[in-house]
Amino acid sequence: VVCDAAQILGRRKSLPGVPTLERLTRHTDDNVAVAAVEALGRIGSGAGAEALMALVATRSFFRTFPAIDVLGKSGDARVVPLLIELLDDPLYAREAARALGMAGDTRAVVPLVALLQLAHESLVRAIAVALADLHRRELQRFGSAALVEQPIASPVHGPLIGRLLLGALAEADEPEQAAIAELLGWRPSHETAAALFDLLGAAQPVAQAALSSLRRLGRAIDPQLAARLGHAGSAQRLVLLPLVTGRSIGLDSVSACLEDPDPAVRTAACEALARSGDTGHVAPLFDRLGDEDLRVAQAALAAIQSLGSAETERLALQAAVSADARVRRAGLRIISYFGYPKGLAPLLDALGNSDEKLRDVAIAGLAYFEDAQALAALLGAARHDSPGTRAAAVRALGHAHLGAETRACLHAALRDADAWVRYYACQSLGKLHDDSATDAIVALVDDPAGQVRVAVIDALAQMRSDAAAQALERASASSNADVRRAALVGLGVARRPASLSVLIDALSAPDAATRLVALSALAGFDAPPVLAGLRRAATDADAGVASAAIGFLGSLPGPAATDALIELLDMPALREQAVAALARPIEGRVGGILAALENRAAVASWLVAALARMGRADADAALVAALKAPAVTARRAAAGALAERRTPDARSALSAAATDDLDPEVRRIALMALAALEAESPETR
Amino acid sequence: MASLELSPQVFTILCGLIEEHAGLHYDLLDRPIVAEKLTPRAVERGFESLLDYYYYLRYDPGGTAELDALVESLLVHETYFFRELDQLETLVKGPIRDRINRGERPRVWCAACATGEEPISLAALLAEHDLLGRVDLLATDLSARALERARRGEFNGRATRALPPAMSRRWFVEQNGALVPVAGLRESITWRQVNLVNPLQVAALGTFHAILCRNVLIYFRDETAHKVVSSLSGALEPGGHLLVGASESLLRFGTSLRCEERGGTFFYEKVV
Repeated sequence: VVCDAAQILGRRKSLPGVPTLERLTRHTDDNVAVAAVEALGRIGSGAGAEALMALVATRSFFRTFPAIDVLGKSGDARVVPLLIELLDDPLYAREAARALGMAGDTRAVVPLVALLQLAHESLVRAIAVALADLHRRELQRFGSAALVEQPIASPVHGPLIGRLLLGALAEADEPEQAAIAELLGWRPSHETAAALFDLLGAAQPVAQAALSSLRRLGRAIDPQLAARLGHAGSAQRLVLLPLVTGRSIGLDSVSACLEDPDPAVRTAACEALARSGDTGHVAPLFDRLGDEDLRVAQAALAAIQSLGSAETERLALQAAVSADARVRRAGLRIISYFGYPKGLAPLLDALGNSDEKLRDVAIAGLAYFEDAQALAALLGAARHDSPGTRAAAVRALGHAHLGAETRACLHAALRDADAWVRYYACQSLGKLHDDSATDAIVALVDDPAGQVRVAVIDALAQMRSDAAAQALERASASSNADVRRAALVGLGVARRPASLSVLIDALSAPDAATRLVALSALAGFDAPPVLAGLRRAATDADAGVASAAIGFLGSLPGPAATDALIELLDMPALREQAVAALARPIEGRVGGILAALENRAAVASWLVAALARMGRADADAALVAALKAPAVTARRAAAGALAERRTPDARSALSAAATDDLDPEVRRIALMALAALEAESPETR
Repeated sequence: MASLELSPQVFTILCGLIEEHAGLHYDLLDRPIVAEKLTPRAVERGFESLLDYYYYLRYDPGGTAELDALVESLLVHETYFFRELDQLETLVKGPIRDRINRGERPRVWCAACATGEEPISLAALLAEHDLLGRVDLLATDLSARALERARRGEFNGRATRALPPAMSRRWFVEQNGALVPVAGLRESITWRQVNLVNPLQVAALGTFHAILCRNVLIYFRDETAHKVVSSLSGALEPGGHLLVGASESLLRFGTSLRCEERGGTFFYEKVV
C-alpha cells in the first residue's frame, strides 16, 4: 500500500508529497524506498535532490541505482560532484557515467575521459553515450562543443581513445554505436573513417551518426569514399552518395550510379553530381531526363539547371526536339531557365503541338522571353480551344509587361467559361497591379468556383483603390477560411492602420492556418500593438504559430522585442527557439542581452548561448564582458563559449578568469578553454 | 523549376486539408517529408505554386481524386505478420472462442489493416484453432493501393520477419523465394476501403464483437483520435472489445470503454 501510494504521488507530480517521499527513501523496506525514489523522479524539477544524495552516500545496493538515475535527470548542479565521485566505484561507475551525460554539466568531461582510458569495454560504451549526451547539450546551447571534443581530439589521449572506442563497437547496442560513431568523428584517422563507413549500413540512428561524423571529416575521406563507391551495390551506393561533396573523389563512379536499377540511387547520383559543381558530367544527366521514375527525371533536371555548362545549350536544344515527350518538356524547361535565345524557335514550335503538357511548358518558358513573337504567341494561346492551354497562357501573361493587348486579353479572360482561366486572370491582373480591373474582379466575388472567389481576394490585395480595400475588409470576415485568409494577406500587404484590429482579432481564429496568416500579415506593420500580438502568439497552442511568432520577434530591433524574447527563456518548451531568435544580429540585441545578464541569473547561460551563436565582434566582446558578470552561471557559460573564440581578447579574458575568478568552476572551465585554444593553435598543429 | 516553395502558411493550410480528409496529422518537423511528396505531384500537374495546388485539391472537381492519391503517397504501410502476437492469441482463445462456444458467429473488424498482415495473422490463428470458418472477418484501410496488394497477396519481404516457425510451416508457402500466406487465409477475409475519420463510413459497416485498430491512433491528433475512438465504440456490440497498439492508450481520451488486462495485454470493453 505504501509503495502504491508513493507511486501515485509520483504520477500526480505532487509537490506537497515531496517531504513524505523524501522520508520514504529511508524506509526499512527496499521496495518502498525504491518506489519513493522513482516517484521523486517522476515529479522532477530536482525534487528531493538532497535526500537522494544522502541515499547515494549510503551505497545501499538496491536504492543507489535508481537514485543515481533520478539525480542525473534532476537538473540540479549540486549533484555533479557526487556523481563524479561515484565514477571511482566500479559498482556504480557505469550508472554514474550515464547520469553525468544526462546532467549535461561540462565538469564531467575530464573525469569521464580519464576513466575512459582505463575502462573495460562496457564502461567505455557507457562513457561514450555520456560524452555524446554532453556534446549534444553543449551544441544546443552554444552552437559548438569544443570543451567536450578537445580531450578526445587531443594528440595526447586521442589515439588510445580512438582504439578503445573502435574496440567497444562490436558489443555495443544501437544507442551506444550511435554515440561511438559521433565520438569517432571528433578525431579523424584512416581507421576511424573505415569504421564509420562500415556503420553506414547499420540501423538508422547509427547510420545517421556515422554519416554526420564522416561529413565532419570532410575531404579527408574522399579516397576511401571513391574506393567504396566503385565496388558498391545499390544499397551501399544509397548511403555513400550523400557524402559526395566535390569533384576530388573522381566522379566517374558517381556517374555510373545514374544507371543503377534502384531509382533512389539514380536520384541520389543526380543530386551528388549537382553538389560536385563539375560540369563534365552534364551529358549523362541529360540521359536521365526521360527516366521512368519521375523523381529521377526531376532530380536530373534540377542538377542540369544547377550545374550549367558550355555543353548545356546544345544538349537542351537537342532534347527540345526529342521524340520522347518527357525529354522534350525537360529540354524546353532548361531552355527557359537559361533563356537561350536560340530556344525561342523550339518553344514557339511546341506551342502548336497536340500535347497539352508540352504546350504548357512552352507557354511558361515564353513568359520569360522579352520578344514580340513570344508575346504574340502567348496572346494567341490565351484564345486556344483547350481551357488548360488558355489557363497556362493567362498565368504566363502575369509575368509580361502590362501593355494594351495584354490588359485586354486578361480582362476578357475574367469572363472565360473555364474557372481556372478566370482564376489565373485574377492572379495575373493582381500581379500586374492593374487597378482598372478592380470592378471586374470585384464582380467575381460570388463566382461559382471556389478557387476564383479566393483569387479575387488575392488580386484585390495587390490593388490600391478604395473599392479594393473595402472588398478586402468585407472578405476578412468571410465564413470561407480560404477567402478570409486571402483577405488577411491582403490587409498585410496594404498595411492600412485601420486593418490592425482585424488582424489582431484573427490571431484568435479557431484554426491555426488563419492565425498563422494573420500573424504574418501583422508582422509587416510598424505599430505598438504588433509587439503585443507577437508576444501573445509566441505562446500559441500550435507549434507552427508559436514558432513563427518567435521568428518575427527575432527580426524586430529594439529593447522591447529583446525583452519579449528573454521572457520566453523562462518557458523550457520555447527556450531553444527563443535563443535562436535572440542570436540574430539585430540592432539593440547585444545591449539588451548584456543588461539582462545583470539581473536574470536563472537564464544567464541561455543569454550567453545567444551571444555565442551570434558570431559577431560586438557579441564576442559581450561574451568577454559576461566573464565578469555577477551571476556565476553567466561566467561559467561565458568561459565555455569563449573556448571557441580565437581572439586575443578572449584568450586574455580566459587567462585572467583562470587565475582570478572567485568561482573554482569558472577557473576550471577557463583552463580547459585555454587548453582547447592551445590545441587548435597553428604551432600546436 | 522542379522545386516549389512550401511556406509554413501553405504547409499548415495543406496539412489542415489532409487532416480533414484522412485524419493524418503532421507538424512542422514533417515539412520536408510532406514537401517531398507534394512537390512532384504539383509540378507534374503543371502548377507553379503549392497554394494553387491546394486550391485545386480544395475546389476543383478533380481535386478529391488527387487528394486521395496524395494521401495514398503519404501513408505508412510498415507492418508485419504476427505483430503483437500475444494480444491476437488472447482475443482468439478468449472472447472469440467464448462467443463461438455460446453459439454465436463473431464479427471481427481489422480497421486500418494496411497491406493485410494483421487480418491474415488473425485468420491464421483462427485456422490454427479450427475457428476460421466460424468467424466473419472484415479488413479495411484508407489506401486502395494497400488493399489491392493485400487482396493479391503481395507482401514486403520484411513482413515475415517475426513468423513463428510452427505457423510458418502450416500457413505459409514459398513463392518466388519469399514466404506468402496460403490463399485460403486471404480469401476468408472481406476487404473494403474505409476512411476511419468518416463516421458515416464506419457506421455503414454495422456492428462488431471485436475491432482491432492497432498502431493507427499515433498518426492522429488527440482530437481526431478521440472522434475515431467514439465512432469505433459506436460500432462495437455491447460486451465487444476494442484492441489498440501496445504503445497506445485510450484512457487519456476519457473513453466510455472499460480497460481490462487479459493475458498481459490490454482490451477495451464496451460495458453491457
